[in-house]
Amino acid sequence: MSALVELKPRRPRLTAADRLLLAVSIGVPLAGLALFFLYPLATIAARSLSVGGNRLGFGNYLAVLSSPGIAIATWNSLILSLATTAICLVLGFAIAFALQRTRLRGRGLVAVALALPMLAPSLVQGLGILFILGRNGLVHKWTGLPVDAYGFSGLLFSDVLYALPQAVLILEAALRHSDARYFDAAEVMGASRLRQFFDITLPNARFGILSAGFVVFTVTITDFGNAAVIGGNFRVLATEIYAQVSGQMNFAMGAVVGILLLLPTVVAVVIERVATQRQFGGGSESAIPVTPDSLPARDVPLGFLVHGSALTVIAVVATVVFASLVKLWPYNLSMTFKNYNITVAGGYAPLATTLEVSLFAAVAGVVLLFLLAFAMKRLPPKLAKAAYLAAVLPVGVPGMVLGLSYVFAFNLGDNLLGMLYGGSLLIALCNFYHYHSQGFLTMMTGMRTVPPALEEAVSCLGGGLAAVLKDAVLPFIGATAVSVFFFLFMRSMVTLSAVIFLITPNLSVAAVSVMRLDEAGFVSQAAAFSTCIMGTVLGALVVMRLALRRAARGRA
Amino acid sequence: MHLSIRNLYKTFDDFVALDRISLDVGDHDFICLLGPSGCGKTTLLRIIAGLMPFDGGALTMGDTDLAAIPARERGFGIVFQSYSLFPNMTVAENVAYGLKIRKESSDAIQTRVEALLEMIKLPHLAERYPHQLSGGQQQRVAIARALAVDPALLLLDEPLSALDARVRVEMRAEIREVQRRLGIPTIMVTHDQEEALSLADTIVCMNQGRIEQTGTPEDLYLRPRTRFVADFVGQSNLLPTAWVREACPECLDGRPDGKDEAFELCIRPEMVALSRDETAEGRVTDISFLGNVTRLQVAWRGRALAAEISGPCGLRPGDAVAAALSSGAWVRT
Repeated sequence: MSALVELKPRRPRLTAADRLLLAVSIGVPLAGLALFFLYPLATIAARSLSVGGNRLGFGNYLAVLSSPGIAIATWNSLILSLATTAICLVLGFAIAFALQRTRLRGRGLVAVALALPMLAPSLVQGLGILFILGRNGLVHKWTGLPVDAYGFSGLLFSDVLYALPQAVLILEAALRHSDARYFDAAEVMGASRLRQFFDITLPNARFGILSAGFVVFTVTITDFGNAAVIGGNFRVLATEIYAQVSGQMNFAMGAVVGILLLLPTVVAVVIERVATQRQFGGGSESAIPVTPDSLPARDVPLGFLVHGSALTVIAVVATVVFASLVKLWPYNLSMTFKNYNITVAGGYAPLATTLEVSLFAAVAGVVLLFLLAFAMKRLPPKLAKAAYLAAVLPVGVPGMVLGLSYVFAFNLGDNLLGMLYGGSLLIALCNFYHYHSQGFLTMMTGMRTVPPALEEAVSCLGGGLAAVLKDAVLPFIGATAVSVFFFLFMRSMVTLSAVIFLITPNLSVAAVSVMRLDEAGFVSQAAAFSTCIMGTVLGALVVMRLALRRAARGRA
Repeated sequence: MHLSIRNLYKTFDDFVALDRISLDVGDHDFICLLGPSGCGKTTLLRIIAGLMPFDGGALTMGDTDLAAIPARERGFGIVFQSYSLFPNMTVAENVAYGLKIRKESSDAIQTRVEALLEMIKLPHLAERYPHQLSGGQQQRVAIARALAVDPALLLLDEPLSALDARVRVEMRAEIREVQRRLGIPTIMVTHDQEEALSLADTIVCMNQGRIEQTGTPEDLYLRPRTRFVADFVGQSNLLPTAWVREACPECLDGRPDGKDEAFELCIRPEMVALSRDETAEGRVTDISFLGNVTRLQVAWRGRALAAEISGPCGLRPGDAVAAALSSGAWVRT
């Protein structure tokens, strides 16, 4: 049939202005990804394979694998991450179940506990545990017992506190999607509540459990902050990589450990993606949500567990705030502000730097992600697929690895990129690309709420791409852009693992200051500095709520 | 200006969405593209609007080749099923949008917007936001917005499908009236045959990417040319040639030459005349009373015939009736 038709594809041409806008929206974000994500990663991979001169080989890998220090650190990391994952899954499932399926009271307390890890650098948990259980902690002072939080148990405790809220969020989402009709059917057929739990609740949440497990495993094995503060002599991969690079200037070793750290994360991310796709493939559109009920024999013990966990998370962080306000922890608990008079390690300059870095990362991030998400729909399918892959890849790269790869890519005096090294701009870019995937996915979700017919209406009324952007897209994506902005800002304020490699004697960031103060024994000042960070982020959160409310009112 | 479509061809991967479509739209025509979902009618409308490229053929307006002209420069008006008003603009701002893009003076815009709001009978709602309006009101605003720029062609993509049944009938009359008054050539996509019959000067009935038949509403109803059109537009009894030869030989008049399977006889239910006759061979098998008409199923000479009688019929299932067929159209299978 088609042989009879003269095929001559006819495509309406774009005006020059539209072509330029489209080229910028796709070109700039992708160039950024290539330069500040793909290129550094390639560099670290090349570095790990380079064995002197221009030769490539696995020499570095063999050296690393045969070095006893690394073997121990790998083993320690695995054990620690597995233990954290197991505890977080059990506790996290109990909490998520209580929140979704029972009429639990005091949900506000749990919500606060769940929000805390977003507000605080990951070393705050470790710091708080030291204040309570350390050699000079409250427990020792009250009981005289020779407690010592340093090492495996303290690190396990702080990692659980850090990762638990993230596990709960994922498990809650998994439980939210269940269909009440399964339970009604089971009830009618005479299944007991316990049977229903094992036959319906658990199997339906299995992908959520899998996904939560991988997230916990990944954040634990790649976490640097808590390990640095409370790990003591218990060496893990994250601290080992830092020691190799910062302490012994052993860059090849660092590169190898960095690549090795990539493995569990990549596997986890891939499996999780496959799993979530299958999970949603099986779900039904018209699921009837399960109504929470109350069952005292189940809910009272569950309530103790949930509130106990939430209180522990809050108490540990609150202890840090409290300790920052007393004269001499734990011996003289009278109140003072003198700990806030920080003069060592650059004083408050790093906080100002962090604020500047975070604002820049958030502003540049929102603009770039917005342009990229906007351009995605207008790209040929193959290019769009490649761009999508590049945009979601960063989630698989731990902060430590990204930071280290920046050292390899930008710590060169002899070219243009080298000029970025040692500046706050590079730290901001590193933070942005570290959290690129989450921001991108949120932006894409927001972009999906823009009605396509509205964009077409603008075109038919004579508007160009710029008018489409302004009148059809922006009104719908405003609220999403605000939340992406604050997500990037808050993450950038508290992150430690990536930036630890990018600071110089003249340029530091807030989370590093806390670590330095703690290392130097100024624990009360470290607590004070942590409190300042949390206060700043909390302030940003309040501003965000107000901005979102205003955006919502603007649309109504 | 005259829109002309010649041998338009469009594929999605290997799927032929539009297969050599040819169509002319005259100066004041109201044309309905009618067909089931997936027949290509919306694709055709989007190509005419410039929202989609095509793979072969020609699309011209007067002497202008439209193929390379982007949607924004075609100067057509479009109205979507989903209203698609700007949620952050008032009714007046929505209507003014196209004029603002054309950088008209604000006085001119205001006069024009007032006139349009008067025309759609909503002048009192100028300062409201879309979410404060009913579906019918929103769609009126969308039409006014499309008309504001004096479009050379008005494109309506299932504009009434999202509305309640009663509002839909009202809006039908309004659209027709406005189109007549302004004389703007209009193409409307719909899958609702009643809408097409009541609105269009010309109906283009489409199926699987092809035009089955183009004609006036009377043409399509009384003189369908294909089995698809007979079936899709209104109800019909489709009777095979062999059966007609046996059961109703006089109906063979006017049958085009061709194999038995090539043609079927289309008889509309109201063209089946029934009369009570105790000795007749027809049997009423089912009756549904619909108020103004009564629909009956009758077993007659080995087939089930659908018949329609206006008002109540006084028959009951099982009654014996005589049937007479008249005014059929032979359709290609």
